[in-house]
Formats: sequence, structure tokens, C-alpha cells
Amino acid sequence: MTTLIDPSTDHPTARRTLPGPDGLVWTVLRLHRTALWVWTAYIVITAGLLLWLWGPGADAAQKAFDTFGYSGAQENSYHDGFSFLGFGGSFDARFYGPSSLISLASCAIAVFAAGPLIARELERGTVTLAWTQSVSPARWLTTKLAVPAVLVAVGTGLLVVLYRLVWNAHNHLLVAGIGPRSFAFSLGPATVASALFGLAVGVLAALVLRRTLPAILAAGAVQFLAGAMRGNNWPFQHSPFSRLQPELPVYSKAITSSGARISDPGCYLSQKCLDRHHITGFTRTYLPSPDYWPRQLAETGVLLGLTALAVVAAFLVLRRYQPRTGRPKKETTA
Amino acid sequence: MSSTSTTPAVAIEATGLGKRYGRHGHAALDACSFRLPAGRISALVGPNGAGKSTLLAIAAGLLRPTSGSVTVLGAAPGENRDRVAYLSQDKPLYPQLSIADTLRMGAELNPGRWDAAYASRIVEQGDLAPKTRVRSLSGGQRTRVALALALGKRPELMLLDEPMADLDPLARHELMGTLMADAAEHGTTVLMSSHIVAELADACDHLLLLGGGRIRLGGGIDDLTAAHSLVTGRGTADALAPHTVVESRAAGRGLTALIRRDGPLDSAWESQEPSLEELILAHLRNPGAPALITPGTTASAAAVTA
Amino acid sequence: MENVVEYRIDRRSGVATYLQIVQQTQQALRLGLLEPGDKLPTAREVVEATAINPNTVLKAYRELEREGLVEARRGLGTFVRRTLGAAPADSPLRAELADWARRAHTAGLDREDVAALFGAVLDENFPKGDQ
Repeated sequence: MTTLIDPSTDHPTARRTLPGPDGLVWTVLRLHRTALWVWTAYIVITAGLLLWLWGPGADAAQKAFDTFGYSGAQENSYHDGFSFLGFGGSFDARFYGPSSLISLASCAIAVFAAGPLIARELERGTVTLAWTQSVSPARWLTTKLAVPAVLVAVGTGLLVVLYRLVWNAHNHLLVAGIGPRSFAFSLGPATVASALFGLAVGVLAALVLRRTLPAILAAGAVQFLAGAMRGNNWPFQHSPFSRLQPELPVYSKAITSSGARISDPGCYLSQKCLDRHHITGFTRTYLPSPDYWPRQLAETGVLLGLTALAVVAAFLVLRRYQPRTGRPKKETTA
Repeated sequence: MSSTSTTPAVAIEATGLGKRYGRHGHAALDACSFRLPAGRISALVGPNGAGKSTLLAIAAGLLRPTSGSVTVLGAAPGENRDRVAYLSQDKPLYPQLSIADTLRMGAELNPGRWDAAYASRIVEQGDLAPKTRVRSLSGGQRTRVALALALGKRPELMLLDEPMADLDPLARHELMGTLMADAAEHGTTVLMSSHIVAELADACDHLLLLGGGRIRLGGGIDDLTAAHSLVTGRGTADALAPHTVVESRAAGRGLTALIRRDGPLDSAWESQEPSLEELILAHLRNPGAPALITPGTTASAAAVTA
Repeated sequence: MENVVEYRIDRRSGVATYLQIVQQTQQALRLGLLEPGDKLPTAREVVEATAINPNTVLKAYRELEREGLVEARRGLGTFVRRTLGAAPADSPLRAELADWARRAHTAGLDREDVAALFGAVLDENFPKGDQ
């Protein structure tokens, strides 16, 4: 067929190339705008909680500590009241709230990646929309992984850094036991790796299962189990093949009026006893465990390795993926 | 001609294309071979399950054939995503996006090709407000937005699967007009499937009739109708030799038959050229009729046998 | 730019689509609706309004060109070269025909009768294939 170009009517068509980064990035951000808002809100709220714990949130506990030492901090934690995910309660109770939020978020990431990010697109067939624009499936998946990965890594990384600051400043106020130990070994680079692992697992589950609900359930379960085995809860720690759970060394002294540092005389809340020992203050801190970095790095390595495997598997599954064609879904209205 | 520089003369060329769903599943396409010359507006017709959607999805690079090969604009399917537009039957769109955002997405995903003014004009013709969410559109309105998305990228080849199925007659006429204008202006090659032959008769100049997973009729519509005659007269079907009788039915003492001529026709027969619809229906009713693929539509690499 | 002709395509008329365009153009020329120098709509405009295949319009325009009625000027469009028939809308011939039709009506002929009669005379004086 001849093209019928008539210059008198063939006005130059307005062709527009948008400046800036890859249009696929815009598309992914726009499509998952709600998730983006939820994620931002989560980061802002959790960071706010941590900053508060770093500052005024620790004041009451610090005052009790200054007066009665570790006993004071313990006493303070008994006046607990109800605490939920870091809101309300004593410092000791509030301190662990953000860490529950972070664990919850890593499961939420897996669920989001499995559901809205991938499986819903496969289920609705909208995936073919992107693939029949100028976008190859591989580029599509790359962006679908990379954009959330950057947001997850940056957000979670920020929280980890803030959390470490709070820990370094106030860990002497925490009641000793499994709490500080478990926390100290789980928070670090591995926290970020765990969130990224959730993203990869979600994407893989969606591509394999192709349906939203099964993918969400599978990804959520895997991520929950992975989270349950992290930090101080490594599997096989008590087996003969592996080492025991490490302890956190603690440095705890009472300071006398002469400035000498002596062992805590065990006065509890008795001011008379403290006066008798001329105690004017206390110092207490968890020392960095020599186990921390080996364990963190090992865990980060394992999680990133699994993440990489999941991503590779996702691309392999994608290569074999073929959208359903044929009968259209019934329109709701004719 | 503006299209000669970039458009190869062949838009789609399929050789022995086969597609089987599942290991022992039914074959949607079976040794399907044809060539679609560039610049044609081709109707893809066939009964339900003839493999129309499968063929279009393979050409769009969404499905992999089980056997055989196909090139689209001179390359493997999926290599030229920017130059090929595809509209599937269910016309998926993101329900949470507004029309404006959907078109913005078209611009973002087709850098350097997107014609924003053109795409929004198609939407505006349908009196659709850009801020309307796709979720709240009717089936026909969704089709319009999906077509705007397909045409906005200024494709060289459009693969349309039942594009007009849920449109009202006015919108159907309007959008078909838009499509034809695009083809007139840019020489766009169009391959569209439909059940409604009348819808295609005026718009298309080329036909691919699929049956049993392969091409039953392929070629320019004028050539195909000219190769056939609708004859009436006294006598039996045997008397019509050496012509190929596609379909015959009794008419009083004689018969009416649709034949594919082989040589001149005996003047005893009253003869007229069949309409496209008659031609297609006769072949659909008689799956045993041998295939006819005109030379321009025959795949070069394969000997096409009936 | 005004479009002087808007083609109507009747899908059920049985007349080939390209012929409908040819006939409607000829009709417009006969009635003086198109005059030499007038521009026919571009193929793009025709197909946009009628949703027919662009080649059909091209074929019709080629036919009109073959008849010497129009000419394609490269890059400009298709233009009317000459009118058809000497019977513009207000010519004496038309008045006479109108007068005859009135008389036929008075004589009791119905529409089909008149059409048959006119057709017969037309065929007699203008044998087919003698364009």
C-alpha cells in the first residue's frame, strides 16, 4: 500500500521525549504509589520513635539509673504499663518496639512483592501491557526489583543506623537477659539483607505461583521462618557441630565520691546503703562482642546469597513465562 | 513513500509455525506458514479456537511457538517491541491509574516514539475526561484508551485481537476510521482478528483465514475474491471440473456453487464474483476445501502445501 | 480548507465501495457541487470519516483520474479538472426533466414505473460500456 502523505494536511506530529531517568522507573513508582506512601510513613514513624528513644524517651530511665544504678533501671522497667510496638510503657519495653516493626516490615515487603508488585500483574494480565510497549520482560523485572530494592535498602539502612545510635547511647538501661543479647546480634547489615531477601522471595513466589493469594502466603511464610532463624536464634547453635549462643560481655561499675570505680555493692534501692559506700554514680555498658561481626557478616552473606539465588531463579522462571491468552475475562458490563 | 527506509517489505513471515498448549494438549497452530507484506491491512479470520489469538500473541513476542519460526519486521518477535503494538482481547489496563497517567505511562515506556497529542486526541474523541480512573470506564471506553496507548507509540505493525468487540457502532466506526487514517498516513501494517466479517470487509485489503491451526486462505482480498466464482446453473458438481468446488448446494434442477476457477468458465454457468463474506463463510463451512495462498502471501522459505 | 465532498458509504448497496466514491464524485460534478480547481479530500480524510481501507480511496481516485475528471498534483492533493455533463442543478434540461416527472406522476405512474421507464430510455441512448 502506498502511504498517502499530503503535505498540506500532514502537520508535523508532536513527538515528545521526556527528559530524566528511565520511564520504567516512573511507571513502577506510579503503579505502586500507595505502597510507596505506606513505606515512607513506616520509615518516618519508626525513625521518629527511634529519635525519641535516643533523646527524651530515655530520660526517666536514665534518672533512675543515675540514682540507683542498674537496680534503678530495672525498677523503672517494672512500672511498665501497656506497650505496643514501641508506643507506651517503660523505656525497656519501648526500646524493642521498632525492632518488632522492622521484622513486621520485612514480612510486609515479601507480601507486597509477591502480591501487588508481581502476581497481581500476572493475574490481571497487565503485565502484557508493559511488555508490549517498548519494554522487554527482563527490563521490566529488573526495574520491578531494583526500584523497591533501593527504597528498602535505604529505608531499612537508615533505621539500622539510628537504632545502633540508640543502642550505643542507652543499652545500659535495658534489663539484662535474652532481650539485649538477641537484639544486639540481630541488628546490623543482616537486617537490611533480610529485607532484601523478603523482596526477592516475594518476587520469586509470585512468578512461580502466578496467583496473588498463594504467592502472598508462601512468601510471607518463608520470610517469617527466615526471620525466626536470624540473630540470636540461629539453628544448630546447641548442636555439637556448632557453637553456643554467645553472651554479651557487660562492664558495670559503681563510682565512689573519690572517683574510684568499684563493683556494684548490691544496694538495690537503698539510699542508706549507697551513702555507706560513698557511691555517687554508676557506669554500665555492653561491650562489643567479638562474635558480633563474624555472625553479622556470615548472616548477611547467607541472606544475600539466597537473595541472589532467588533473583536468578526469578529471571529463569520469567524466561519460561508465557501469559495466558485466549478467552477474555468476562466484562462486568456489556 | 515514507516507510521504505525503515520498513522491510515483509511485516510478518511465519514458517511451519506450531503451538501446542501443554505436552499433549491441543495444537492451536499447526505448521502454519504465511507472509504478511508490509503496509497491508489484514483481517485475521477463523472459527473459535482456530489459533487467532495464539498467532497474534506469538507475533507480539508474548508466546513462544513450540515449533517453526516467525520473524516480525525482520527480526525475532519481541526484538522490535518499540515498533509493534499489540492489543489483546481483554485489553488489560491498570485500573488504579487515571487516563492521563495511563497515557503518561505510554510516553514513559516508549521514549522517542510517543505521540502525546495524537494519543490524547483519540481519548478526547470519546469524551473521556483525562482524570477519570480506568477502573470506572465501560468496556468500550477501555478499548478506546487501550487503542490510544497502542496508536500513540506510532507503531509500524499493529496486532489487534478482536479490537472492536465491545464498542458501540458509532465508536467502532470512529476508531476504525482513526486506525485507517493512521494507516493512510504512515503506512502502518495492521493485522486484526474479528468474528464480524462485515466489520472487516471495508477496512481490510488482505485476508488470513485460519482453520485447524493453519492458513486456509491468504492474500489480497481482491485477488482472493477474483479467483473464485459463485456459479449457478443446471448440472452436477462433477460438471464443474476442473474447477475446485469449495461449496455447492442444490438450486432447483441445478446447483449453486462457490468454485475456485482453474481456467475459463463454461458460459452455460451464470457466474458472479463472491463477496468477501460469502467467500469466508463457504470456506468456514467446508473445512476440507484446499487452501489457497496467493504468491505474495506465501512464506518464502517453506513450500506451503494444502 | 473546506471539504466539498463527504462520501457516504452504503455497505448494503451491493455496489463496490470504490465505485460508490467514483459515482458520488461524478454526481457532485454533474450537480455542479464540484468545479474545476476544487480539491478532493485527502485519502486520510476520507478513510478517517468512512473507516474504509485507504487503498479503496486510492483506487477510486485513480479511476477518476483515468476518466480525466481529476488530477493528482504531487504533494498538493487531488484536484478537479473538468465538470461532468452540461446539466448543473438549475439548467433547462433539469427543468424539462422535472416537468416530465410531474406529468408522469399526474398520469398515474408510480416511482418504480418512472425508474423503469427512465432506465430503459437511458439504456437505449447510453448503451453500457460507452462511457
